[in-house]
Amino acid sequence: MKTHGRTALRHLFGLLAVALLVQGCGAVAVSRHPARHKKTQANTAVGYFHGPLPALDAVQFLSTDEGFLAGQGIVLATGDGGQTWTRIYSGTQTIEAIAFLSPKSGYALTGSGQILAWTGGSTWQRVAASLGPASAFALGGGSLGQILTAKGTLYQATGPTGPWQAESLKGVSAVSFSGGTTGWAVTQGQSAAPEVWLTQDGGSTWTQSYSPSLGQAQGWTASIAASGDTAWLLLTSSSGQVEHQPYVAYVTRDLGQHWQEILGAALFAQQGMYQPAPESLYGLQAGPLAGTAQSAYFLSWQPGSPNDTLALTATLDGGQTWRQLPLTSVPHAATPYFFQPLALTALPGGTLWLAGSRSGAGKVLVSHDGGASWQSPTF
Amino acid sequence: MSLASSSPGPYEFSLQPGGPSIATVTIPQGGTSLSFYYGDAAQGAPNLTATSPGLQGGSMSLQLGSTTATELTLSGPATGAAGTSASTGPFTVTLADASGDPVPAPSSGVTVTLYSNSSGQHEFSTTPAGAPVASVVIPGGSTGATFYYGDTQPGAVALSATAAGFSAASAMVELATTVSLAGQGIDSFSPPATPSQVQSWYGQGFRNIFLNTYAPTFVQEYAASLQSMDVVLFQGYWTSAFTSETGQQRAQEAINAAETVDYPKGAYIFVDVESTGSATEQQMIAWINSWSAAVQAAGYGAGVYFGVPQPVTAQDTTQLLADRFWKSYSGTSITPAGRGVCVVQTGTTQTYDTDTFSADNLGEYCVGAGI
Repeated sequence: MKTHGRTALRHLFGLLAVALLVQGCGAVAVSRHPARHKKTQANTAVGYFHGPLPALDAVQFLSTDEGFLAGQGIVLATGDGGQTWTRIYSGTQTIEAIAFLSPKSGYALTGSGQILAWTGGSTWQRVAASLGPASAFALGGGSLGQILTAKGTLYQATGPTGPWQAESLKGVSAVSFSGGTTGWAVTQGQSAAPEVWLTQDGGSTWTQSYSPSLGQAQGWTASIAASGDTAWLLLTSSSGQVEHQPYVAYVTRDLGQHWQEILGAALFAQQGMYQPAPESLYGLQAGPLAGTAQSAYFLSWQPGSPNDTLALTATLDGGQTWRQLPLTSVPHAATPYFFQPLALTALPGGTLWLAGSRSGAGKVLVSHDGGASWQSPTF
Repeated sequence: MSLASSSPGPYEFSLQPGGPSIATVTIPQGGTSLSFYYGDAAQGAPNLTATSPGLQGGSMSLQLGSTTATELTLSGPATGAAGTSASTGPFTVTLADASGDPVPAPSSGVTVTLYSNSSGQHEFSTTPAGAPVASVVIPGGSTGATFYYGDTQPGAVALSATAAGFSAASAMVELATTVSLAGQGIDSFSPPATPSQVQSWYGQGFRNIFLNTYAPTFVQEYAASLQSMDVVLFQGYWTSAFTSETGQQRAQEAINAAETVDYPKGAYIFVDVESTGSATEQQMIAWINSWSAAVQAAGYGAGVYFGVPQPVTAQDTTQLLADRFWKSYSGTSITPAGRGVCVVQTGTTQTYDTDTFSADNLGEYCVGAGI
């Protein structure tokens, strides 16, 4: 079993004049789409928001009441389950991802790779110089922050205001913290199969937990969602055929001691890319996943109707059984387009928030019954 | 140095495989050893000895199976293209013992006569598209000989090889020709196409099948599919290739696959255009044309599958060298302007996608391989 320790070499980044106290640990928001580039300074703006929504990239809820939406020049916060929204960031920066640890503290990642910090006031502070275009972003580890750049280097802040240091784990393509100091990262080299790593000390050391066997691996992209001792891993390939994309999903319920394949595209299992899974997603291409300790939700794309559809595959019993839930309870015009930024977050109890865009306008859907029915909130 | 064997024989020694028999060998001056070969008609464990006056003799035990050539075996490609020259192959006819293990021909060689059960005009040759021959010779000391086959009539053909004193061998080959595709078909199927599976799909009313040249079982699937259905090839997508490789580079892989199964020239290969990543509209037009030019230069037709997402517009397709189009099942995929499509993906199930083949707006069809 391989282990990566913290390197002695510490990289200091141009920092930061904010004293930011980061407490506890929060859920993780990860954007699945690469950065759009706009260069502006962090800005301020507050006030109740009444739409229209710009294109959205990220959604995160800390509880059924407290949550955040982010996208093109905007971050919105709600404290009443989405009944009302307050604009807590306004600017020209595209916010690619958010990671809030409490209703009054969090980070936002801009399309140009800047990290902006918010402490509940009216001001966002740039806490680190650009780390380059970012593709994913997560925070965790108590007082330690985790930052993932597009180049696959995991950066960690050792204190609330930094300094930031590069972790020894390289080639990281996804990261998720499940609470406390427990977190997961997925790495992948140019040709190597993905490897899943576990830290239980806030990122100081990483131990390899799993490396799935994937034949004909070409550009596998990982996403991982962790909660407690459970982690859900979804791997999708950038090669495929006529609307079919290879994907395979795994779960561990014991902090990585055992991993089980739970979903996969049957076509590519037959072609030897991975072992045949018991079930396949309803859609032909896999979107983001969200998970809790017992539940997991996978969004996918289902072509066919004049405008195609999103589909949701869900398990409420740790992956033992699955149900497929086409998102037909909302009008097509209110549904995000699969091939634009799309983010999903899940809470224990079955509350789901889905954010994305269609034709440049933000689209938000919420479900309070595990995806059985959906509503389109009014902004 | 004298050589001997405890075998009841007959047996012989030789300095070369299949060479003339010898009873003694001489280690050259200054040398320390010498190699020789042994042949024995009898099975068993003979003890071989080497003796020389004034020296202590040496010996070794040898386990021999049957080494007598009793039969011919015939192997070669399962598919080929119908045509006027002998270009399908190479087929290999091999001398073998009762266990099927290759055995060298005697020094006089073995003449093998070749036959086909085809009622069409056919011929054999020892080189691709070479002069017609009726037989081939397995030279002394060799275990086999190769040949090529040509037949103007498509279909399943049984080839056979005979030689006096040996059991005959036969092999089947499916010879395809170009066909215009119409009616119902499938793509992206699971499980892989085996003869029985293809027959099952045929029984469900499907007459055409798309095969991905990237599939690890592509060669086997091509042979299996031709037995019951008409076949057209496509090349699956790889997102990064749209920006990191030229279309020509990508096309060469499809051409290699097509030529491996002797996909008939004139038939179409489609390129899968979807999930094009950061490639722009103009980059994709250039990429598709680069791909198409390479495919056409190899003698095949160039077609394009348009899925989503990708930046090429319906009007852009009038700039393309490709001249057959396949539309995705997606409701948001484009329908090429002018020519339109010769095949439409009409649905998807857990086990296959369905397609409908028909003439495009110019009255032309997709062209594939059939027998």
